[in-house]
Amino acid sequence: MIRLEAITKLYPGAPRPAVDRLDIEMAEGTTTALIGPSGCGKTTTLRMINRMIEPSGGRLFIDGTDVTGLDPVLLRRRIGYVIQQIGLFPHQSVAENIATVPKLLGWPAATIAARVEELLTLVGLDPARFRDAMPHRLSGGQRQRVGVARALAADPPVMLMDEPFGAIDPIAREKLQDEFKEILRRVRKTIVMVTHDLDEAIKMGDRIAIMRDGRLVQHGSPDEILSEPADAFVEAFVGPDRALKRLSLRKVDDLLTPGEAAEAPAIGAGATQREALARLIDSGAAALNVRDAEGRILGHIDRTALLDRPETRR
Amino acid sequence: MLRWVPTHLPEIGEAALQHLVLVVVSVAIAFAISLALGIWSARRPRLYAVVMAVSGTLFVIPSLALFALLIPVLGLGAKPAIVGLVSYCLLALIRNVALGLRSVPPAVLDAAIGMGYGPWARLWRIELPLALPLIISGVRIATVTVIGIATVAAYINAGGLGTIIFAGIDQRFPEKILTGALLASAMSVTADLLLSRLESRLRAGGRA
Repeated sequence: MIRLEAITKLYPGAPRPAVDRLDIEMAEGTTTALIGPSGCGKTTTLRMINRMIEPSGGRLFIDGTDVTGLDPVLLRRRIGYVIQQIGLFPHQSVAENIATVPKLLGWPAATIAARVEELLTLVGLDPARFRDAMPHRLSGGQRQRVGVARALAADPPVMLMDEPFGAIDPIAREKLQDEFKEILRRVRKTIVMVTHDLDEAIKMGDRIAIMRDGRLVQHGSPDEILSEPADAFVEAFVGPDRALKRLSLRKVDDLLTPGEAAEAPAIGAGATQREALARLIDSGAAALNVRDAEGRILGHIDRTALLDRPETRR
Repeated sequence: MLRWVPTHLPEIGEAALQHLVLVVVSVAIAFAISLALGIWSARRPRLYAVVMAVSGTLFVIPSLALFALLIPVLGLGAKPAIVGLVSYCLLALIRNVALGLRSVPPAVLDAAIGMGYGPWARLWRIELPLALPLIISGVRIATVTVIGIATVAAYINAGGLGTIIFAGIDQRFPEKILTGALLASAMSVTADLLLSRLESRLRAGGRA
C-alpha cells in the first residue's frame, strides 16, 4: 500500500508548486494510472515515491512505514523502477541487467542465476537465447520486457512505471500491454504507472488518478471516471467518446443471451463490447453469436442489449 | 651509411628505455590526476571551464620554456621532466574523462539511480565502464603527445631519445639525429596503434 499525505513539490523560483498537497492512497496489489496533461505533476509525483525527487513537504508511506526519513538509496532497492527509455545498461548482458538489484542486495550468485531464469521465463523470453544477449541486439519490446524483469528482480512490493510503453511502436504496444497486464496480475504488485494515454490508463489501471496543475482532480475506477467525470476538465479530458471507452471495459460475456441467433456473424468470447458494437455496425446484423475458442456457440448478444444500457440510464 | 648505430646499440637501447619510462610514468601520474579532476568537474560546468582553462594554458606553454622554468624549482633530471610532461597530458585526459562520463545516456543514469545504486557504485559499475572508450582515447592522445615532447626533456638532463638527438645536433652528426627521431616516431606510432585497438575493442564490447 502506498499513501501520499499532502505531498508537495515546490521548485525554487516556480510560480506554483509542481505538485500541490497531494493526498492519494493506492491499495495493495492494484495498478494506479497517473494521467493528465503535460506539466500536471504526474511524473514528479511518481519520482517522489522513490525519492528521485525529494518532496518539499508532506509524508509518504509504503506499507504503513513513513519512508520520507529513510536512506533513499536503500529505499529504491525495494521499489521496482521502469522508465520509458528503458535505460538498460548497454555494457551488461541481459542476465547482468536483471541481476542489478539482487547484486546490490548481496544475494548469493546461485540464487541470482535462478531468479534471472525465472524472470526471463515470466516475461516471455527464452533464457537460453536471451540470458547472455547484449541489450543492443534486442528489439524495443524485448528491451522493455528485460526492463520489467529487472524491476521485478528482487520481488519489490511496489513498482513505479514511467510511460513504460512510450518507446514501443504502436503495433507492438497493444500486445505488450496485454502481456504486461497478465504478468502484473500474476505478480500482484502495488503499481503506479504514469501515462499520457487515456486508453492505456483504462486498460492497465484498476484505478485512474487524473491530475491537473499539481492537484488530484479525480481518483476512481476507469468505469467511474468514464461514467461520472468529476468536473468539466475531466469530462473534456476523457473525451466525447467516453461511452465507447466504457464499452471497451466490458466483455461480451456479460450480455450473453442463451441460444444461437439466426444469420448472425460470430465474435469470440472475451471480446470487448466495443469490439462487438463495431462488428454490428460493420455487418448491419441485429445480433452476434458468441463463440468460445473451440468454435462452440455459447449464446448470442442482441444489438438492443448492447445499446440499451441500464448503467448509463440516469 | 650506418656507422654509429651498430656499435652503440646498448646506448640506444638505454635511451629508448629511459624515454619509455618517462612517458609511462608521466601518463600514469597524469591519468590519476585527470580521473579525479574529470569525475569532479564533468557535471559542474563552471568548475569544468576553470579546469579546462588551466590545463589549456599549461598545454600551450612551449615545452623548452616550461622545462627551463622548472629548473630553479626542481633542478635538473627526470623529476622536472615528469612534472612538465604530466602538465601536457592533463588537457586531453581531463577532457576525455569528462566527455566520457557525459556520454553516458541520461536514461541509463536515471535507471541506475532508480534501482538503488549509490553514487560511488554507480560511478564504478556504470559510468566509468561506459566512459572507458573515450578515456582510453584520451590516454592515446596524451601518450602520443608526450612521446614527442619527452625528446626535449634531454635538454634538462632527463635522458631519453632526446639525448641522442641533441648530441647529433651538437656534433653535426645526422645519423644520431635521425636515429633518435625515428625511434621516437616508431614509439609514437606503436602506442597509437595499440591504444586505438584497445579503444575499438572496448567500443565493440559496450555497444556495437
